[in-house]
Amino acid sequence: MATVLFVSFILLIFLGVPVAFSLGLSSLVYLFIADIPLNIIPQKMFAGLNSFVLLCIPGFILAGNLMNAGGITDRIIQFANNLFGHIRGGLGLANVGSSMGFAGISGTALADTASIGSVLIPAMKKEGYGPGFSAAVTASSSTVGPIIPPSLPMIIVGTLASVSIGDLFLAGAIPGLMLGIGLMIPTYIISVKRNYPKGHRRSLKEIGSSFIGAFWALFMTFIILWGILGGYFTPTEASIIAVLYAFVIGIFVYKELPIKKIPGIMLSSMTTTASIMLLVGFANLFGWIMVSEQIPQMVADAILGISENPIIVILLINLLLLFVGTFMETIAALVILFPVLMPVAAQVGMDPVQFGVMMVLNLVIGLVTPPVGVCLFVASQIGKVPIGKTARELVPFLGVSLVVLMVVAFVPQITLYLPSLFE
Amino acid sequence: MKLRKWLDLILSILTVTSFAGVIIVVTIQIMSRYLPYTAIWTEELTRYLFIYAICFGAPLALIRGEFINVDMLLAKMSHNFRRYYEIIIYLSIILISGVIVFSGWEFTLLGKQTSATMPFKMLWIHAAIMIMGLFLTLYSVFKIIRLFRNQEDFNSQTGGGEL
Repeated sequence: MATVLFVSFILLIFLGVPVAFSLGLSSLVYLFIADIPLNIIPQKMFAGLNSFVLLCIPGFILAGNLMNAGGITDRIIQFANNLFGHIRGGLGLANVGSSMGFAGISGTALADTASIGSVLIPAMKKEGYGPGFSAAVTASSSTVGPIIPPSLPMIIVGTLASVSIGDLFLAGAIPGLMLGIGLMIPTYIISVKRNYPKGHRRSLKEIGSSFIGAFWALFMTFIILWGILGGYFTPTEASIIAVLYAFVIGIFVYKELPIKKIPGIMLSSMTTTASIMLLVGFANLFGWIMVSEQIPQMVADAILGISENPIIVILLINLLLLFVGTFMETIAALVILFPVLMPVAAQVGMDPVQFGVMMVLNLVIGLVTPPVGVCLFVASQIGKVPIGKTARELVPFLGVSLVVLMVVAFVPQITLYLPSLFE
Repeated sequence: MKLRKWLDLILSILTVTSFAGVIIVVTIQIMSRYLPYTAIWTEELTRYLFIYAICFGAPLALIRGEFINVDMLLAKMSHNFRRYYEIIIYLSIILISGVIVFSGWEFTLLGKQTSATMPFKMLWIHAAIMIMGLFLTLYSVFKIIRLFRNQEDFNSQTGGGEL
């Protein structure tokens, strides 16, 4: 019975049916064969959507889009470029730096790829960087987006594991910084090797004045974290505060956000959210079937049957997640696999917060790998490079991501230290 | 397709209004903590506004091609083959949406109890799922008509999706 569910799901995804509807249709097939009344469908969907916590998704998406329309992207890039421009491969380093700054206002990797890439990939190409390299730097550095808070996938993890979203956000901070700084290493080495250009050194005054422009973006990250961790507001409230903040900064401080455009930005933020939430709704149904078929128990037994050694179990989980991440969409993979794998991780003594960060890290690596990697696709499209060429340039960056992943998987302090300060 | 233009506009307005409602109600919730007046209904109302925002936004996301899919196979097809192939995909979406409409109706009728903090019956909120199914069906039909008339440009879609 469970085989029917999985085979039809994978088949539908492969055939090109949107992931959300693949979940719904495969559940439908199962319910039909198992002769379960179909009114479980709206019930489980409603239960999945009826969530105050998941409401931070549209909030953070809207805040990010408003900041972007308000001119924050250019200011972050300007600041990063003033900071790194004089080093060899300066624009490449600025690209990574901008992604880290942008990660603090957006919760997704694709938003980073699209906004940073559309400015920096053409600029890098013009200065003589290889187009494949430019696209690869953009795509790989944008994966810090969902690691550095706020983070959309971490919100999903928080609801799945019933752990504090504030803890998860904070747990992602150190791995996110490690990943960002780590990605600068291959950027620099390759730039030196290929003799990519460097800009002239900026004066402290120039750096200072560009910092003030970018400051408002960094301050938003700070308010969100401070508010959630200090217990002043819930994650959902924090996301709405971020929206109000973005309104004020865009209209009154940067004075670049056209009021006329706001309804359109709200609409596109909500349609994006709706496509994610429909997936969450169907996944709730799918997950209910999995639990009633006792799939999580079976998977746990299978993995622990291979070995009970924590190191091997964690490695096996990582291999599975990396594999799934290469072709599966992040949110779908999270909602399906988190409940399945969490019990296994708990068996070998992993904290849900650490496991959540590790899982998100695994899945975002999949965003830049073929066969299906949206960041890889979008960056290649912006750079007008064949995907294969970008993918080849990505190899050293993937190496860095894997090293960070292993550190997160095996050193709990990396993720758990910061949240422990707020206990 | 004058009908679709009107529907698009109505759904867009409803989506943005529900979303604006969410922002306003949550703002009230935050402020009420610092005011003598405590609003107990804010959390519940926000959830319901969110459900309706999703219900109106989902069909628009569908027609905009924002639902994430794996297009490994699709990208290899010739334009004309892909048109007919996608029609089959949207027929399958109509199938699940149709099921949501019928089962959603039963689910709506289950909502006889009154809301926890507000003076209306839950069936008004439960109905959102059925309404969403209805519009998803309708917009899949619109999409199929567009595919038949060869009005879709597959190259302009980047796959959509936020992640």
